[in-house]
Amino acid sequence: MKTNKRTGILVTSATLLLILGGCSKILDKKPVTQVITPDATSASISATDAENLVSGLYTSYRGYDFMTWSIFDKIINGDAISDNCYAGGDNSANITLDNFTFNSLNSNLDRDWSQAYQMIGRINIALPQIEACTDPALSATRKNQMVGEARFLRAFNYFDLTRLFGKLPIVLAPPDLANAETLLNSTLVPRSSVDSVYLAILDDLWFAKNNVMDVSAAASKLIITKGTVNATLAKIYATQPNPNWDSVKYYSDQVIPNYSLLPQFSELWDNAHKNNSEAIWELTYGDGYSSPDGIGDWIPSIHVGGSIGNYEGGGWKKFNLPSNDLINLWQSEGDNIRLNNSVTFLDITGQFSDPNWPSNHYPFLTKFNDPANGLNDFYVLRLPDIMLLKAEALVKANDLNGALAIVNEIRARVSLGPKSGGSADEVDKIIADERRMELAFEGHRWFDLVRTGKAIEVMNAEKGGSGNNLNYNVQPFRLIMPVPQNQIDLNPRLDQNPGY
Amino acid sequence: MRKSVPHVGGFQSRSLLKILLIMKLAIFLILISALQVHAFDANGQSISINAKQTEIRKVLTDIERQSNYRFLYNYDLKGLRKKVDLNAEKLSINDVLSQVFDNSGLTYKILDNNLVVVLSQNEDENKEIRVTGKVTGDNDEPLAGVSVLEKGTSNGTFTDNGGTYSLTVGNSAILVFSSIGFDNREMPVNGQSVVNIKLTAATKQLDQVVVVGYGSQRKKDLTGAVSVVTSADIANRPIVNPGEALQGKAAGVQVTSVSGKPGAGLSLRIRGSSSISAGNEPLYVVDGIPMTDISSYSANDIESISVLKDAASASIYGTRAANGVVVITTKKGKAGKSRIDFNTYFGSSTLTKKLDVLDSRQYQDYMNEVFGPGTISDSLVAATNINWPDEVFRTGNQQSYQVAFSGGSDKIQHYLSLGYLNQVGAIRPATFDRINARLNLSSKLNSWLSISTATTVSRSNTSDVTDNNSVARGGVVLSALTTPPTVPKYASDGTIGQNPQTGWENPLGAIEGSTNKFREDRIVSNIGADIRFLKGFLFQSRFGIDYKNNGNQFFIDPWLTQNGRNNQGNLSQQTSTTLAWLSEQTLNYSKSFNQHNFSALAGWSAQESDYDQTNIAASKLDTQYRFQKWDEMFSRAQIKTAPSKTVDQWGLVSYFGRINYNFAGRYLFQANLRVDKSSKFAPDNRTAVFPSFSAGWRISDEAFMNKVDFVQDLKLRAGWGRNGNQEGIGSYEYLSLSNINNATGDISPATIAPADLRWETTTQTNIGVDASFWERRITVSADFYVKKTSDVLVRIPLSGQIVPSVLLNSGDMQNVGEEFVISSKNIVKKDLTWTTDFNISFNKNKVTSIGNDLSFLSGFGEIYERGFAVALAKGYGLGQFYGYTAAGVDPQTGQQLYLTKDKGAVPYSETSPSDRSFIGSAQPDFVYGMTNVVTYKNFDLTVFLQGSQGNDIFNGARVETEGMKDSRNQSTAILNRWRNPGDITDIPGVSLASNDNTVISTRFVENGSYLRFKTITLAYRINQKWLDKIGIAGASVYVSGQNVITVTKYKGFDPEVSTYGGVSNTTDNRNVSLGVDYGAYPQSKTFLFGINLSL
Repeated sequence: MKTNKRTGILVTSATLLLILGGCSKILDKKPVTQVITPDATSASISATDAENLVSGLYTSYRGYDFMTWSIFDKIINGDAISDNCYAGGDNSANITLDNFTFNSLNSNLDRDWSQAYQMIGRINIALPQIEACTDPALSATRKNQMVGEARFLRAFNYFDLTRLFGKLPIVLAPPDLANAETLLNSTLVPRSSVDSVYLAILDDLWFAKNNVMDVSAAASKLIITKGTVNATLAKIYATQPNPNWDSVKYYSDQVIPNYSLLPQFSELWDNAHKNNSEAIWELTYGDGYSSPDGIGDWIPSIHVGGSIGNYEGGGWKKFNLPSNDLINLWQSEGDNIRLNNSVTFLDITGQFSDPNWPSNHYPFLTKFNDPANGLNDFYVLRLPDIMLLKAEALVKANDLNGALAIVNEIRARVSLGPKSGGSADEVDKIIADERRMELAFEGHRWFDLVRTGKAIEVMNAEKGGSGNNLNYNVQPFRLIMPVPQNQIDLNPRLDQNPGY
Repeated sequence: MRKSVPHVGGFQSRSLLKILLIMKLAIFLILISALQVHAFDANGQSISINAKQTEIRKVLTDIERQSNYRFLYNYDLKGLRKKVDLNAEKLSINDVLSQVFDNSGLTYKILDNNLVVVLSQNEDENKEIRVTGKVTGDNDEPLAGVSVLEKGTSNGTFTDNGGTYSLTVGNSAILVFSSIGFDNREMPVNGQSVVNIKLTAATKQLDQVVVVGYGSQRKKDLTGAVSVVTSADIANRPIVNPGEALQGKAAGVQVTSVSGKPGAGLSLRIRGSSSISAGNEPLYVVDGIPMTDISSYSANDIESISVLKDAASASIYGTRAANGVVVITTKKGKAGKSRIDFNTYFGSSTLTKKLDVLDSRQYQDYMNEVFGPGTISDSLVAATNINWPDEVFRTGNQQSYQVAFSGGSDKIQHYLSLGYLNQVGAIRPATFDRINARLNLSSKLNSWLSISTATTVSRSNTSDVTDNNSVARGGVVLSALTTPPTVPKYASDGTIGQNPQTGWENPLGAIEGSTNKFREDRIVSNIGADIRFLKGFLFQSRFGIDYKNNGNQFFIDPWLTQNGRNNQGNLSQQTSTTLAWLSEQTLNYSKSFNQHNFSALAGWSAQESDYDQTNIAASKLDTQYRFQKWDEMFSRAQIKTAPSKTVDQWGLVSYFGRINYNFAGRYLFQANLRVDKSSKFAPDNRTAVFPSFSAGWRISDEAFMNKVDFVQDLKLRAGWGRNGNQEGIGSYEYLSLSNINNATGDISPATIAPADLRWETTTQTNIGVDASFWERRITVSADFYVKKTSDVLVRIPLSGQIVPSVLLNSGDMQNVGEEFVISSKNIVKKDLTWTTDFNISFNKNKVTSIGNDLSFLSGFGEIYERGFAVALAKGYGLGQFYGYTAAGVDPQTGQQLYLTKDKGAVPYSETSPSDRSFIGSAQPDFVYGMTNVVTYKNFDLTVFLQGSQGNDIFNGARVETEGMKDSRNQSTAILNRWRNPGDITDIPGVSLASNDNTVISTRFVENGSYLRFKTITLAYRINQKWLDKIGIAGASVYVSGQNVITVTKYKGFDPEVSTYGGVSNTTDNRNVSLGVDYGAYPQSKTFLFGINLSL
């Protein structure tokens, strides 16, 4: 009997102890290997964390999360859609873009939309945290620099997006996390007019222009400086539906004195002259895969072909096959320096084939040339781009000689003789050809064709390898890409561009 | 003597039971009102009697009045008339009786159930008599081999062939008759020399004790929907993961083998899917330890599996029970003779089907049509003609050995087993092996305390090979089907041969170019104590741990493959440990009085899990080191990626209770309540309450049913309840998180979360009926349920936000279904029995809301370059195929045509995305299983059929093998392709570099229904007479075939397939992307030979 009484007491007290003790500890779990994103309104992050956040934005943009958006699709959209490249490879998303048969199910376009908005979303979350930082270790100047850098990155992504898709939903704030419904609703933003998109872009760029650091102060060309912002402004004023050529000239002039052309074109691509005087904005990859962060530029491995020679990119048919038209232009201009630094011909007999090039003389895009180590930096903005924009502005101001002088300065570096021209149209053509030869495979050509109104004419005339017309039959509506169907499914407030 | 009337407490024995029950109630009430009871003995009873010159029989009656003891004696015993003086105050029965019977010439014996037999010390009065009799069955047929035992002794005998027996016993003995297949019966001798008795066939299914959550119940008292699979259903089958045992055996449970890869996982759905982005797999509870993975258990160690399907039976597990609960009980030792059981099987397996591809001549013809004449030269065709499927799909094998030692005494029982299992897949290098040991011990320390422990230790090794992917991504199955026959095995430099057009390696690239090995060491152990105190109380305390140590080593050879050469080799290793512990205390109380049976349970449990993972990786390995061991290669690799760590912790604290009440086993009622607090939710949202109620009515026990002869049992059940689901939700999903770059310290916003993230809640109503007819030859169960889940977690990809997707409680889903089980004893004869068990389940799954205005999410079931085959849509079930409707091949152009809304049948270039629609469903109309067992003398033949009806499969493999757009080899189906204008065929013509003929469309949606002879086993039990001579307690041998015959129209390898069903997929993709075949490792058919031995 006693035993049982004791047992009862023992059991009861043990149970009580177990129930009352330790519960809160069991339930109080916090992430260990991640950090809770602070609510900007309630607490200030440290100066170090603010720096880490900005640095994280750069890493995001150049890193693996978004590298298809920040490098690869720039080349597809700028060069493969245009007359610089055929799609290459065997990927139908690329092929239909090249052939102007794409529809809203194109997976490249969905990837672009979603990666760009994810990048913008990260900026929208980081920005209020940096803005709300009250750590005395963070100077007001540095804080504004960081805010300016973040806002620039946001503006630049919107710029790339609107050039592709036209009207866009403008999202400039972090999502409302109060509950599931507010969160979802805060993402269901309808598209605004292209003008409104540019207003939002300019709003960010004005702040950036006044607050980011000077060109000379930046430790690398990855960092956004006044030069980067001004160069972007020049491009925007040249690209907007109603270009403002005075502004293009003004901002080009803000940029050009801070930079200088490298003596040799080849030095741009030899991976020994990173962060050079010509680079305005450069996605840097240091030692590539051997860098401390392990991030290398892997895009060359899907461009550089053949297990032949120095190229280790593998034996398959690579993407972005240089076009006959482009090679012909270099060759007809005698531009061997830029041709040889942009393209390598290999004999691929017995491997794959393409109707546009013979197997024994098959071009590969080798401007970015180190698939093995991931070393290649990517120039998002480079001095000749802005110089030639200024030349266009000078043509618009009827200063044809001034424009030709710029063209000839660029030609001189690659040992080409000066151009002299007649009409404004002829000079415009000279500038366009020069842009094409200089900036091939850097993601510019398609957007240049669209903004100069030449896209339909040029594309419908493009020929294949045997001189056959490729019959792209580009209709005007195809100058603006369809809003990806997947995005419309996710956000029923999005409307589709006409024609799709 | 013979005429003396037996007395039990003065009442007639016929109505003994009934009267006892009434008395219990009366005594209980008396005790309550008089409050005379102050203390209790081990049986909860103590006795206080104050008697002066009272006859012993009167005293005994008094004792009966205030206790549970019942006396059994011959009324004529003289000693009973003796008058005694007694003054007992709170004494035990023994103390009282020794006083009462002192010098009375009587003695006594306390039996089970508080029966006290009073005997005379006088030999005459207590003399032994010879009892004879005949034992018959239901139909008055004599029963041979029935055990006849004097209760409480080892004195016994068996009936002979005529059913007669004879045994010498004390004249107040009780005889116990028992025989397998019949209910036990007890009969007091009361001095009779002839005791004839009729045994009734066992109401086994009704008296079967079913393990339920936190306890067990007689099957006949169940009010919820519970399916049971026993060790008999598991025996003689090559079951690797115990979950396989449920396939086709339990109504309402859909088990899908995700692939035929050794050690591959299973997909288990109990009554459909209830979630989109959280888990849909049931909770497993093994000997009381909740877990999500039972792959390390050996099926041989399992005694029974109970599947708790409805809310009423599962809700005691609250927050983890919405997908049903699978309660597994492992084998325990039994008191008595020690046993040694040895089981083994070995056999070989081949694919269930072969798919034909082009040979090199046919391939040349095809290629020259696609790329132009001369693309493939005659010399190449002559040089190489490899049938890649034959190279890749070979004969696998499997073997299993298990030895188990069990036995024990009344005090201690043990079960110890050791097993080894090895599977070699049909595709190299996929293998799986597992060694596991199990120890179950239970010990009764004294009358009130017993302790038990169960421990499983296992190690499993898996060697993986990439499947479920296109040749472009190195999937071995599609590589086998699409690598040209002209591609050599190796290039001249020893590297893997490549398709020159694409650079894709032949399947040896997947097989030899990389290794991917997984190891899991696991210990699951628990220790528990059962403490009985007061009357009817049982306190159970249990503490368990589940410890896992996982390792994965991955290596890409730096030389053999292009990918390897590009990376110059790649090495990565993940190691992790997971320690989960559980502490659980429950208090049970049960009380029966008159016909009222009442029991209650209250409990508390706490669980905590701590997961810690480390990743290391390296690349750039000089080829000279590529044959070294992984660790050496890691040391040699020149680039080391910064290591990273992941830590994940969660905790769950729960309070739960249950009340069972039944009146006379006729009116049954149960209520459950569980309150859970989970660390996975914000502090304000942490607590959830899950109630359930159920009731049953055994109509067959009603008086008005007495006349209905053919119905033996009829029970109506109904239940309602609510469960939660938190499985598949990350530990910190309610928080917005940022990642820290392990190399640079960069901070990047990574996830966002709504502050109000909460549980999914499933509300289920179940109505069921159980019945048996015609002497229980036919047993039927039917269940109907409606299961609605609200706050369904949906990982919604966000348009225009930071993360690819965010987890929101934004969906609603419902499942409505019916389940039927029929068991029939078709033939019951001495040498021949034939039984049939059939079950069929219907379930309609429907997503009633995704969230806000969203009605459609694409992005599931990706087919390389063709987009997504599966969509999630409001108003439809999970696993809906979405795409174009194919409308034949244009005889003029050879183009595949598609139906449009307004333009009729057109080629793809003229379609618009809005022409797509829902083109098929992976949800079956019903799934079923049937087991036939025929026993003839020593032979047992088991035929187990299983099938699924009405489901579609998206045959993504055909997109690759009938694509006709590039240099991939193709299936022989394309020999019928369109070639010239005017050709009428359903296979389009070649179309270089274009996917227009192979977009997601009905062209690739196929009928996935199948009927499969899952198991056919013929076993022979070796004659026991022979075995006895060599001291073997039992032996049988069997031959068995698995998946031997499959009836299906599906054109792929096997209809049991789910490319996206693997655990490595994100949960939402796994849940939504059902029924896609994109190069999954196919199922095998297996022939086995097995031996079972008992010593």
